[in-house]
Amino acid sequence: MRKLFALLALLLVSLGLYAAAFALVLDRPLDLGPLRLAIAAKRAAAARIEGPKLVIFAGSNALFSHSCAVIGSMLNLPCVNAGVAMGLGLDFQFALWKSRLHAGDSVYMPLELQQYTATAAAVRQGPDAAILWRHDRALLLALGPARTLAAVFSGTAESGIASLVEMAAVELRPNLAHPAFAAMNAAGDGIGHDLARAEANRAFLASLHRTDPPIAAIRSGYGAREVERFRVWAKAAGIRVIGGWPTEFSDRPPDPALAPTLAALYGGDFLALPNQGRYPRADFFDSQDHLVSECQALHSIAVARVLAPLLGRVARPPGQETISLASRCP
Amino acid sequence: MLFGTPLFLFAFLPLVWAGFRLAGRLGADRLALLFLLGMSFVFYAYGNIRDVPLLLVSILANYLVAGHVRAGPWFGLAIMGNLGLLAVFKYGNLIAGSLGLGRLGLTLPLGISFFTFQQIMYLSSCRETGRRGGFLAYANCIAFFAHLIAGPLVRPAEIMPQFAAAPSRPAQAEAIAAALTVILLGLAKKLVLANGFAPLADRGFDAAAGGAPVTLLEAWVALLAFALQIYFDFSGYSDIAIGLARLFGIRFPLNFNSPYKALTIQDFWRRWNITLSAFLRDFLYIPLGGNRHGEGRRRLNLMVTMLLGGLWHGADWRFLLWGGLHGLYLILHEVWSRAAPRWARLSRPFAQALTLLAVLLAWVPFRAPDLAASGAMLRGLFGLNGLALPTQLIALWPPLGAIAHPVPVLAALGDARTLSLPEALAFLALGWAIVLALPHVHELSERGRALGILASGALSLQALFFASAATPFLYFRF
Repeated sequence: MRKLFALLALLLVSLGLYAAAFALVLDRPLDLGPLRLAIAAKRAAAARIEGPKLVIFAGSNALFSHSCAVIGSMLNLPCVNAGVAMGLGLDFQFALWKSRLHAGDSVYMPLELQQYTATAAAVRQGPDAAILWRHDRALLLALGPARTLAAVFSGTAESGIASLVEMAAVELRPNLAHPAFAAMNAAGDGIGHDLARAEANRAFLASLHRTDPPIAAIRSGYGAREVERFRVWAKAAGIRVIGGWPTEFSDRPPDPALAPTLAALYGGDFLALPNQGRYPRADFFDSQDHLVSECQALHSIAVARVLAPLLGRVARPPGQETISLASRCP
Repeated sequence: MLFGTPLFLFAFLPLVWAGFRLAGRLGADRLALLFLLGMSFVFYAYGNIRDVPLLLVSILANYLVAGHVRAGPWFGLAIMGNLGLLAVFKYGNLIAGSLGLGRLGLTLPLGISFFTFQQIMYLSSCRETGRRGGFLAYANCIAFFAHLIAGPLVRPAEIMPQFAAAPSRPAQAEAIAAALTVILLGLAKKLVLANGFAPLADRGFDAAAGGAPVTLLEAWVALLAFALQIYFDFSGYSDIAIGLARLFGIRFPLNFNSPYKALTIQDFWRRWNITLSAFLRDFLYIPLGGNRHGEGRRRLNLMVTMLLGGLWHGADWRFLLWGGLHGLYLILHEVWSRAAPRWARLSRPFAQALTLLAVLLAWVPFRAPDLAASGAMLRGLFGLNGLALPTQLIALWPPLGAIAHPVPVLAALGDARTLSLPEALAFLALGWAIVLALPHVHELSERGRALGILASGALSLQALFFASAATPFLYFRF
């Protein structure tokens, strides 16, 4: 019997060491660190705004394909771009942003389609699980026991090794940072991903083949349920939530049922864009979620023009610099 | 049902073990064996219930014939019947397609490749000894869930008496702890290591299959990852099977003995999938004439054995090529061993490196989906698509720019993170250190096993409960 108890004890010690290692020692300063810093910077920008504001909320298609600087200026409304990365759980992000949203604010949500269809299990094991377990265990506990348990068990052998490599790399080169988040303006928009820099990514862009998830999966996905819960909260708090199209390659036209499906998820409060957010591959930087800066400006002008009447505002013409930038979108 | 799932580990296994032990304790040995057999069928039916009649017929028919195999044509007919059934399911679609008859729509029944060979071993044992043994011991020897799907192949003469005695043998806590330790370490090999290396291998081979020009580092990362994936996957499965058998008082033979430490290709085949290698030797190579008819015939027999061993994996040219390459390696090694002067013999590290390189290169056609993809991967491995490194990595250490051309992303590594490549290399280094520098699970001291559990136990539980999907063992598809 002694050997059986010894085996059990070994397993328990293994669990303890594992939990402690990922909670206290192992970190991802390059992969996850920038996500945390980006969220913190965006929340700080939102906290500085007094009075009604617009928040653009999605994954990295909000960050790189939308410009709060352009949209906010055209709508004459302070705007914060809350977009960071598609893989971050919606519940985690909603929990962080609720304290920054107040009655009279508007949230525009051009979520990536994959955010609606992500399963609960996948979301709970996403990048925010490690962030929460390592850096914000109070918020993690607030997200509930299932989320907490999954976060405690989110570390894998691969992520442990990645942590060691990243920690060593940062030790050697303290200034290392993820280039995606290195360039961000005060409104939280990604900047600097222009056509000239996109040239090197042409072959990679040509190789990307992401298909839209099935309509039924979008309707019934875990993300869709999170959006519904957030809308209920927002309505009670006097906050307007408007759905929108994420950016995608136009060589893959959307299912005709997609527009009514997305609109229904937002109770009909949905921004109908003529091109449904689809652009030629030549307009993208390094993925179908990231328009080049020139097209980011063009897309933002289009969004602002359609968003204005929904918010009861009159869209001002974009600035000359923005027009010039947008005119270079291929 | 997969070994690496909570359903198997926390429901099926405890239930079967408790039922078997309870019946044994009550003195109902036959009931215990009947229960074990019934639950093995449940295990099998969970995979595909339509395969159950085939397994049942195979067991009943072979047992009936086993009483007559010492005389007359029965032995030959029974062997042909078993092999014919395997051939129909394994190669029927290919043959029908080649004859212009279209696809027959046959799906390969789970484990048929293994239980067919197990039946041949049983018939052969009956022919030798003239004893077919008790039905329940025999049926469990074939259908025992621990090895039904992917081996290891066991000698009926060694295992059937163990089954007969197992119910009445008391379960000792020490033996149970030892069995559970082997199971846990096997699970770690599969869930933590094999499944961890799989994405690295898949991305590279998928890129090659998709026509992408896989560069030197991408190709080597994929190949080294696949070599680790298949080793940890199959040897992990074998360890779990050995541990499961021990829980029921059965001793299965060792199936992997640190094969990548082999000093020669012959040595490799004494260490890799040992029970299948022994089967091919005893039931194919030796009946073909073995080394009894001169050098030329011996080499031919070697090549035929390896080609058929390759084809056993599936009706595909790539498996034939894999077997053929190993046949060629064995012949070259044999010729070299005879002809090379003493001074030209390779030193141990060099011999091990050369053997490993040969084995690695043979994995290319085995893993690539077709010959074109094999060619694309080989071009990458030999540097014909150049050496590329992520721009960000070159920016970190500019001298790298002198030997590699910068690319924004190493597409075959799958993502655009700054340190994807160093992270992949570090993970590979860990895997190869385990394989080359450490003793295997069954050689480990008690202290070594304890350290293994300490290092891997929590990671295994993580993968068991939180992995996105349970991944079948690679050899389930053969």
